[in-house]
Amino acid sequence: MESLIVHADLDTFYVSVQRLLDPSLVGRPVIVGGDPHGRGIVAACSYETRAFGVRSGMTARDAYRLCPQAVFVRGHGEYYGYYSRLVKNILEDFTPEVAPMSIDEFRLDFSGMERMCPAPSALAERIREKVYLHTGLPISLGLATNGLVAKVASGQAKPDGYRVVPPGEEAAFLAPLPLGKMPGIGPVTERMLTERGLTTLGDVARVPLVMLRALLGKHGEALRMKCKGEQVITARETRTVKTLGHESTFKDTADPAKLRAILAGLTAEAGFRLRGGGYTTRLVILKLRYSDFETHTHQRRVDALFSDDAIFKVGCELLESTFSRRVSVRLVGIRLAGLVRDLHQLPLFEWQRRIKRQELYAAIDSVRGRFGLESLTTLTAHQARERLPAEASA
Amino acid sequence: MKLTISQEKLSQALNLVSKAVSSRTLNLVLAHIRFQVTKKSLTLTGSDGDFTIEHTVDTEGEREGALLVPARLFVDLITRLPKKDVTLERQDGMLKIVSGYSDYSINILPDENFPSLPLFEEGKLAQLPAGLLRSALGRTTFSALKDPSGTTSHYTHGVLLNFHEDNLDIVATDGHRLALERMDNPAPEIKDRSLLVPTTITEELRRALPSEEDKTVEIYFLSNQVFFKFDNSVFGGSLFDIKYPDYLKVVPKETKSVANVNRSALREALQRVLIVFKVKEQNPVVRVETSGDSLVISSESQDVGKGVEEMPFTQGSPFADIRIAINPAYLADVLAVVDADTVDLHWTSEVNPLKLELPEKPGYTYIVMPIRMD
Repeated sequence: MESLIVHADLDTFYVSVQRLLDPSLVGRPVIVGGDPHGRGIVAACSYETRAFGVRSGMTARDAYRLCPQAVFVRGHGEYYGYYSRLVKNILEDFTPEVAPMSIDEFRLDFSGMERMCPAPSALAERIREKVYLHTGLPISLGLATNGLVAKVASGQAKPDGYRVVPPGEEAAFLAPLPLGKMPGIGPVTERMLTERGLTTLGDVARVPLVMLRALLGKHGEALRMKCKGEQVITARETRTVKTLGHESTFKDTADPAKLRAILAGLTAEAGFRLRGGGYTTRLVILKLRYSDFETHTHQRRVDALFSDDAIFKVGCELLESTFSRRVSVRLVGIRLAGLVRDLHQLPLFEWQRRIKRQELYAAIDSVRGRFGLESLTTLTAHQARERLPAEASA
Repeated sequence: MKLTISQEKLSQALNLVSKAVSSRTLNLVLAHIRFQVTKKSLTLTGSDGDFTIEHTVDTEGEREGALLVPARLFVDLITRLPKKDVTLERQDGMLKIVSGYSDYSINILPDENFPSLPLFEEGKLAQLPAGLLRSALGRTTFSALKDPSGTTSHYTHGVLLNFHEDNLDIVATDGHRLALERMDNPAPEIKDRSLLVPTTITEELRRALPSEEDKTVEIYFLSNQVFFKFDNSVFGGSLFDIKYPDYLKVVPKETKSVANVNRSALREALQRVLIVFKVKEQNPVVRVETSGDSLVISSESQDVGKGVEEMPFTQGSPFADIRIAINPAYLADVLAVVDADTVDLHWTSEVNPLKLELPEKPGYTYIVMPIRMD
């Protein structure tokens, strides 16, 4: 019995969502991210802009230089999460084993479902069709016997397609591909391998193990297995969250009220994720970057917290103690650490009050989950959103 | 200073006082143990600057004197010496240690600036059988947290001794569970006095207290300091000067349902279902429910699998079917320390605290808060 893994990857996800929100962007070069004349980086870019050399991660200013005709749009973080959950729900109609790998990538496990599944290519067509019909988002699929090959295959299928790697053909499929296609081969490893004359994944698969070991240490063996298309079992597949945080860069300001308002918005995002994972936090860390890039972080130990208002209160006190120079600020961030998965463990003292607050936040989170973070917000955070974009574009 | 003492006696005493020595101290003096030799006795003192243990051994000193020896090094050396007599002598500003064929000289400090326990002839609060306090601490201390940094004071980092009217309550909690041992007030003239003793002290005290019936421990209280005196030892330190939450308010007085369960069967079942959780899983959850005449404990972990345990129980009065989700470790902890054949589980609803009592030993109460499942 062969296992079947489908790796689903939404094509230029942020751009696709922006095009749903504003159909006039369809067919035009789109860059999601910062202000081309100000600050920020490219979070995503459409295929049209990639022809000009634009890549996600570069500064918006550089992207503008490469592709001035592109339409620059600001990201709408809360919609991405919403569409991502929507796609996950649809994928769950096909198999209960859907694991989100990131906001726009999912791994579907069809192992043991042969009798219920059509042939791989028919399955792929059905998944792509259903996702597109229900959400309007193009999705690329890779189908293989293990997750790694499936992921590489989905990359080869892009844009807007699918690729099936039949059982037994994994090594042959990977062999002609350049090194950079393999997850885990970054620029440094790639250069090391290229200097020794290895340019394709097939080259790496053929090299004697001793040589790879000498070159890459214990990762050499895993890499060779990966390049042969074999499953590598890592000690810990699921990552446990240790901290979570949000930060925001904006037009420099020294107005404490404005900084607090930004902090309120960041706290709402962090709190939403905190409770979503069933965590409480025991350490709140505030980060502040002045316009001259001097950066400070202050932190405080707290009793287990989970509510936005309690975290915001600590954040404000930290902000007050951190913001000591008479210099404008360009970035504020909040990070929650000391996460313990005990949101549902009731405390001994005042547990009736805790139940009420938990129910309140459960209601708030369910509204935010469906309609976006902006749909329900505190007054302070609301004022932040009202004031900031207007000033940033001025 | 010169004295000869058996290795066993000395290493036993050193082990006791070194419990108060912090390995992370920044103060050089506190990384030492104080030696005081008189004609009749040897007194050893270890301290972290606040928590101090003093222990006296009856032995004949050849020459009187006092000095400070480096704690870690000295303990390591003495415990490894053969079980013979050890001769300690101050010579040329060093401590000469001779035992059988071993001969060492180590650097020492003069007896200066070492914190000493105040003379506490006054301030005696109460006196109670040492074994009683030992077992009461054994059933409670585990519920409190140990302060990892040793710098913050929080009610979860201490054990409360509350003398109140006719009772002495010993209470410990970590905010999610609570253990309460109620005994007769050994000093009925004290109507209202509560001492919040840091867990670091109670933990060492519990281990050191003698279990013999006839030994007693005396409790002294001076300003914000507490001293426990027993045998030839004194444990002393500062109390936490913070308000303890009203623990009696969270102990449910009336519950809807009582079930009597065999302690060891329940404990072993909990230990087995815990295996279904990965070691790293921070907060395991099990469901405990009654179904017909058996108590069912079930656990499920996405990464490993699931397990179900069933055991018989006896209905108490009143009785209604029980259904609750809790952290199994909280229940397993208490079952490990109480000495009883059966335990009573008192229950009201999925969100109300679960209460455990010992039918054979009234006065002991343990409470666990449930985990909400919806």
